[in-house]
Amino acid sequence: MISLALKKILHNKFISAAVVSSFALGFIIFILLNTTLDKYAQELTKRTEGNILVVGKSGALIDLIMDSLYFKQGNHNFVKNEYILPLQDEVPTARMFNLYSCRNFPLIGTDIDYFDIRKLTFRDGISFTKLGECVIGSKVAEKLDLKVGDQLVTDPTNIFDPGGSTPIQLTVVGVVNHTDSPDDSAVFCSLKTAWTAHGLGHSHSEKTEGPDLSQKMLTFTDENLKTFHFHGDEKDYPLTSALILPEDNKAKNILTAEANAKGEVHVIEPKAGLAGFLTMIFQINTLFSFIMLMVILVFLLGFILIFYLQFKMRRKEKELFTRIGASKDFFSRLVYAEWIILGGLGVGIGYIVSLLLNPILLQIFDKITKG
Amino acid sequence: MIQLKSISFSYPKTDFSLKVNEFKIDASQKIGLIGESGCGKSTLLKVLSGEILPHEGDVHIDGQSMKTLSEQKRRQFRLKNIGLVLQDSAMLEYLNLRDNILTPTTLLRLKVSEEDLLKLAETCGIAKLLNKKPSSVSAGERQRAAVCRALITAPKIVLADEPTSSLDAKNGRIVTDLLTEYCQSHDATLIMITHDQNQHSKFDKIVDLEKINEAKND
Repeated sequence: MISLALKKILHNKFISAAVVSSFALGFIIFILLNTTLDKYAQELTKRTEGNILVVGKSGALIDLIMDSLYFKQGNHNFVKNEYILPLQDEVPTARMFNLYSCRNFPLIGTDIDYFDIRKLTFRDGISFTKLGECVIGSKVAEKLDLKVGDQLVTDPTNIFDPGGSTPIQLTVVGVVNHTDSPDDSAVFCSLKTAWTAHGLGHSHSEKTEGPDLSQKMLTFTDENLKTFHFHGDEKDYPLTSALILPEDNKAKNILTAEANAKGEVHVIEPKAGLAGFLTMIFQINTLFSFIMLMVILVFLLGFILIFYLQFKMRRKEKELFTRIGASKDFFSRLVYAEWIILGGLGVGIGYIVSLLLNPILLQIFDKITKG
Repeated sequence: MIQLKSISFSYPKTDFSLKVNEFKIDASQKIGLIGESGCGKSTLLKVLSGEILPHEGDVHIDGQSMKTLSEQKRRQFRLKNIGLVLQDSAMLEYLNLRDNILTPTTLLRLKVSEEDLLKLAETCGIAKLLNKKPSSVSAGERQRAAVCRALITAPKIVLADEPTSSLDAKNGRIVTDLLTEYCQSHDATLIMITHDQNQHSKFDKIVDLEKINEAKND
């Protein structure tokens, strides 16, 4: 029976290949779609684990979470520095100013507590201590071929706008170990350095280089550092967000309640903040599954049609078997065997291809999500 | 011996009917069955092979009543004892001639030695074509392969339903000779529907179905 079925399958190579491909393709799409969505949900929740809380201005929760956890820029809902400063006395706090970039990698102005909160360790060098110093993620180091002592310049915001911020030259003083997180693709500097990039600090002996506006750049030297100063009250300086790490759940609840009661800032638990988003992802997943189910149903209807037509078209073959002496259901069993083999082959090939494609797809996914 | 006793059969929703009162065929006899188109020759072969059961009467083959056998037993009986050569040299196009010939033994789960297969194929003149697909051989070669398939189980009875109808005279003669020679050498019974009067001399007896069918099918 199996041998006969295999011979029939091999005889109709193209039809068999088409049926196997259909089965395989359906399986591949189903597996890859689910894996990718799972990975996306996993990636989103990975940075929300523990007691970490996000502080920022009330508004779009997703923007705030994306800004503080995934360094997605575009959050212009600044919160005043003074609202975050009191928190520093109570819990480990990492204020963040995420508005600029260095060669397309986000420049995160933050406190050195950030490295403790995120449990980041140094592969080379040390943390930034002075203006103009930066620490880079492992991917930044790899992609830009940078090491401790090298220089890095912030990207100009608008080269045709004379009022726009001036690019600043940063010196790499540390490289953090790979964490498979957005930290790998970020450049960290002190808040003051980031605020300088924002045009809030300057030196009267600052030196600009380059023949035209597009090449104008602020460099930090021992000489100009002595006269470097910031105008206005530092308490009014902007932050895009802050991360705080309460000791336990109790502290977390008290902090959240107190801060939210004051109304100056909004403290959110990222996991809870993402819950709605995750629900949406799972809903999308359900929707995709439903669409897949419909596609499978259409496939099945097609297969049933082919299946039915096979019985019609192969009537003579069935009659021959019956006349020779095969049982009445022999032909049906033969057709079932053919389809089981084709389906099995399709699913098997689909599974293997999914296994091979999955890492590639996840790499692409990583490139898209982490840069 | 094959014996038909008061059999009658008709297809539903048609005027056709077959009614044979008494018909005996001795073992190792070669019968040429003739009759006008539509008189029931193929139906008679189906009744004889146990493919269909008569509504009345019974068929006895070597004393074995067909009516008393279950469908499964009749099927087994047919596979083991009756070799069928069909009119249109029906073949499974996806199998080569070797696998087509071995279909009955595959169904019976019988092992046939390569030597026996080759010997039979050589007798039928298709030994060199065994690995070819039916679509790549001539009509005469296909029918000879169909004869091989009918004879592979060394049946006691061979039923041939106009096996030469689509062949030229030469190939028709070859096929008839193959069947008659097999029955001669194996003491097997042959009942073959034929319209070729030139071949009548090769049979022990020519039976006109219209004469033994008591039902009139005009």
